[in-house]
Amino acid sequence: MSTTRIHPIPKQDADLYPTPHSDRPALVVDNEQFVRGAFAQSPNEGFEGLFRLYYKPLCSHILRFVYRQDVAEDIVSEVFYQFWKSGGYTSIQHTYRAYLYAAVRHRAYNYLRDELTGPRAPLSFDAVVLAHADESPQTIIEYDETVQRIEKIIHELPTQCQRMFLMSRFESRKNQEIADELGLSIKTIEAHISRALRQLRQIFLFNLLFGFIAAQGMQVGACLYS
Amino acid sequence: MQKKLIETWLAEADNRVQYYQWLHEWELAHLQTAPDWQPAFARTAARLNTPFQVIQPDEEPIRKNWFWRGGNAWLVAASLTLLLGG
Repeated sequence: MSTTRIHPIPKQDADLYPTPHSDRPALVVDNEQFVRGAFAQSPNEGFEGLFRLYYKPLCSHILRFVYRQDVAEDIVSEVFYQFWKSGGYTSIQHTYRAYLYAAVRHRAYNYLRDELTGPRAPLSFDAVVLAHADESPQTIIEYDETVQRIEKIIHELPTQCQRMFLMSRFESRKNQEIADELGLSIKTIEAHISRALRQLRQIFLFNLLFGFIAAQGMQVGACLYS
Repeated sequence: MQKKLIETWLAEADNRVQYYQWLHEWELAHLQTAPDWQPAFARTAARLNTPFQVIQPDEEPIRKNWFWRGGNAWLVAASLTLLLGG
């Protein structure tokens, strides 16, 4: 078990770390001071602070996208790893919290989209970072709406289908284990889980279709005005 | 209309910081899982100290695409054709 260290921010270093609009009162209570103090000691201690503050709630949040504990932890750990390795923590403009939530949501959304509608060319982390930097209000809303739609779809599944889906995803149980526990055939389990996945896939097909129509509309507009 | 108002509000960088603060507070109050951060931190720190390894596309650790591998590509293509053709 590692030791938890809390470092009060040294006065002389207070201005070395990014604070949003230091010339006027921050809109939010800044509870990241001890992390900044830890980064003043070393990246290792800074990241220990970030893991302690954010690993658990980030995993919980990403579970709302992917419904798989192992995948949620992989996504969050990967974002921390890349953030550390790239040195991105040295140039945070606002809060570590805002960066980390935006980055894990971006990655989780892409993971689920690819899982349900087919893989795209893998993005480098640089692209992920850039995508985060350009995060638009529309993107934030799209991610929130996706979480709400996923929850609604799962909530509205027939009871048995919902139970099997959650056992498969949330509890990472194998189809055979679920079949044995519920006294059903494995084909029945597969059929119910496929049904749930088809429903979820609609979220992304709608987004794809909407994006396609929007792109076509822009092309038509460009032709008309050229 | 409400969506437009939220978009306008989120366009301000300070408000996005506030938004993530609220999201974080909400998530802390509604935790769905409580994984131990210490092993994850130790693994990440250890990984940074290991030599770089090239990961082949089919070995990417977090991509477990069982839906797509299940031969459902044609379903997506057919659905799109139906939606766009109709």
